[in-house]
Amino acid sequence: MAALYRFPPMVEEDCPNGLHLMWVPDHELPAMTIGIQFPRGKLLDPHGFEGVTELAVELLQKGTAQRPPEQFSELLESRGCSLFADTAEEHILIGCRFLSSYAFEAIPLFWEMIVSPGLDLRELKRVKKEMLTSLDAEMSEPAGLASKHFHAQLFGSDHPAGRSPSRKSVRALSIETVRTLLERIVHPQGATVVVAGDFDLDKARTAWHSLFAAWDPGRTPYVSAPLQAAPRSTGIAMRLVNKGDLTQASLVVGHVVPGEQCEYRHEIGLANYILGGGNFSSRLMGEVRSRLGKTYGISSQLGRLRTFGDLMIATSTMNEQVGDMLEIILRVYRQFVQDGVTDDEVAKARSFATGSLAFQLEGIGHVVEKLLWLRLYDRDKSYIERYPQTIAGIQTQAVNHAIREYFTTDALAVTVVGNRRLIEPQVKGLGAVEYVDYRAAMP
Amino acid sequence: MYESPEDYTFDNGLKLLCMRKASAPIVAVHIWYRTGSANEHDGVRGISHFFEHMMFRGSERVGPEEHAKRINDVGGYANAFTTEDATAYTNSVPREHLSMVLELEAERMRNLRVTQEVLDTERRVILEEYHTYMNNPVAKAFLEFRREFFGSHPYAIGPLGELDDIRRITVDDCHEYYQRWYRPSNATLVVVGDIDSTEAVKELVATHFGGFDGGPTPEGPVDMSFERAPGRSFAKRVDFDVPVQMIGYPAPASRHSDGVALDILQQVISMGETSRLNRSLVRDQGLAVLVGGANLMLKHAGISLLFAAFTPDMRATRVEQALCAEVERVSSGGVSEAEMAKVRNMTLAMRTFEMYSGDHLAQRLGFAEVIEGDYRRWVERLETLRTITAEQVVETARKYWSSASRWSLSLQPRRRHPLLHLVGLGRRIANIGRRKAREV
Repeated sequence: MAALYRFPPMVEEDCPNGLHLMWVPDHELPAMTIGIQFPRGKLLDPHGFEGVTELAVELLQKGTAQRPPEQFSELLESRGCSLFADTAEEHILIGCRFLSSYAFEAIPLFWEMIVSPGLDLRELKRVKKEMLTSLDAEMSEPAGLASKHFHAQLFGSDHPAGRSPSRKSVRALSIETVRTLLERIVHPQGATVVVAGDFDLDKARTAWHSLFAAWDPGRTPYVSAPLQAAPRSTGIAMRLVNKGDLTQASLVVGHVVPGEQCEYRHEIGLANYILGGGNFSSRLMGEVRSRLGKTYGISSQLGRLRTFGDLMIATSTMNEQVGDMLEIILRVYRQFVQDGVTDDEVAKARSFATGSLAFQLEGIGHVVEKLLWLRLYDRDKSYIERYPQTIAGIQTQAVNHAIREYFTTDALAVTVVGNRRLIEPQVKGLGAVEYVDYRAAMP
Repeated sequence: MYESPEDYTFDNGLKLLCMRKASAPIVAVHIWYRTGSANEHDGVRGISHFFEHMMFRGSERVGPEEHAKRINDVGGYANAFTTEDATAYTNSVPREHLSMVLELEAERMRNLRVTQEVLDTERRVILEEYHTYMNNPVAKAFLEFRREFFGSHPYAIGPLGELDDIRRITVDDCHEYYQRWYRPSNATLVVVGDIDSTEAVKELVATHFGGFDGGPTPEGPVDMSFERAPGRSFAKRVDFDVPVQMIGYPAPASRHSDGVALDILQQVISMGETSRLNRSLVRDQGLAVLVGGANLMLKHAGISLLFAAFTPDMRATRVEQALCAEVERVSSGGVSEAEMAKVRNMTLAMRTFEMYSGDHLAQRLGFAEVIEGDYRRWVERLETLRTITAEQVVETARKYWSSASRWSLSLQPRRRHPLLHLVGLGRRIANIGRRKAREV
């Protein structure tokens, strides 16, 4: 069994304003990271204004009320400091990495950015232009198009999880929509700040605790109801997105699965590893690539939010092979659902899960990510520290039970992006097909 | 927690680089073979990359995909990549599995099996990969551009190869390639991570790789010198909705003493919010949406690139002129001490954060050893960065970034909306009006 993992010693405290602080000294290298996580994300984008959270997070990083964008960037970059951000469905993480010798400049600047954003109009226009250009570039990325269409199909374009930014929605964004969104997301209540790396704990708390604790946005925190999602239809629902210049098609097959809060989340994870998450160790890779040579890569992934998620089997292949590919994927998947998995497969999946933990925690940056992930799902640090035992205790029977309960062939969404003329004859027998042009607005 | 890397060369020519990094209970094991697409010839263009795939397809004692599966089974990761000058196989595993990885790498170095059936299946996979790459219109256009840039040099055709050659590669071609290039004297093994000691690693390596003498170091192409041809311009229409303007200059070999100065120039001009290109083209003039650059310095030659992505209503010639103007400004106006200090800080910070990853360290050491000629260059570069002057940097700009040697690639969307002409015209008229208003 893999050695037990212990987080480095740390100090945690709750501020009266609702902010949770984590001080994690680590002297491996003369570097530090500060990150703040808000437990609200892209799912809050109002209908018709998709993209506002991404825009807001970008804009946050462009200066403060006291310092214009160029001056702000110069202050950071001249010291080798770099900002980073992760804008996800249910959380936002914004952080800064820097050499520890610049901590006393970097941290106040970073905090000023969070509590006193500039929201410069010229920056808004620039970031909007960037987003519109990215959307244009996405038109040439069949895998990205397939994923967007898949989620729209699976959840419906009237569901937050099925919507995505469009040219129309991005053009509609204004400084007012950004401000409204930030008021919902950026609030100390429920937020976590992690200060990690090479610092003296007492000096750091003396210098910065009052900075963090003093934050008072002067408004009550926004509370949103948890989202749910359910399969939209039974059988196989296919969408063929025509992009005629492609020689290769991108395919996604999948369905709704339970979220992170599901009590069988580990069993579902192990099952997915066996199906397609385990690279060359997975059934899909073994059959589709290694034995048949039909693709450069195929995988299955679980995208899990708190209360729901999705299973996505994704691959690409020549247009002329799409029909064959779908037939093979459905065959492998049906067998997986009907027959379950073996003791040997489960043993190997367990071994990967526990062995790979060391990589997930290599370096203070990964430790910070893991600590914030635990906070997001109200989990204690012992969740990770006892993870090897938890996984070791999972038996094949439990994994097969989870497969029977949560993996289904009864309600599948299939999305294909490729050359319709070549693909259409191959998929006629698979069921109802919806045809869309890749440039058309998302149905 | 960190110790300096050490090196050792075994009797059979295999070189070991070993570095102890005990901060996490994992170890990275990379093996670099000094062969890549530059060693290929017509008829087998793509064989280096093809062979990289075949190395995962089984040997006398390890079944197809078994290498990758065994690494996965213990929670590790295995991968590989092919470049013009080298092919590298990377493994990262929990520390207690170091011996297993060494055994697997030694086995496929010595006893790989290539059968017709497996070759044919893997060929299909490689063709899929080829088409995935070629479906990216920008990547495809750049491949065509670099072929022109490198002319008759062995770097002209990259690792992806030629479609017709990939279709025709035979089992005999693979055997010949394997016997010629995959031998201890042509390999460097890099081990970074939570090891007991360098001595312990040496013993393990001797156990697994000893007794195998594949012969002397093979010779690559005799002439790798690169004649810088005068600059040229290309314009293409592509199935990509974002216009891109690129300029490129011949760059020296990665080990060349001008390499550090060229990297500094690249950071000054193209990296970050405060780079010259971002300030000028994105912020001040509003010509581009995104700018960037990179120095692709290979073992014997390279290319120094700058690019800008912009909106379809903007004229490409204007964007190109603005890119060139910034290059000229460096040569004529110099680089400030503040910019030099910023680059030093940015580089030091990047290097420090890189050190958290054993896999990343292994890659850096392997690159420095195999491509630059000595793994110590990875540290020496930092020392050069500290001592190099702004004047030396500007001299390098004048030497390499000259208008006579500039190449240019302009990518325009094949599909162009007629209204954009009017938008562009309207913008130009509005700008004229604004300038006149300011002049009053």
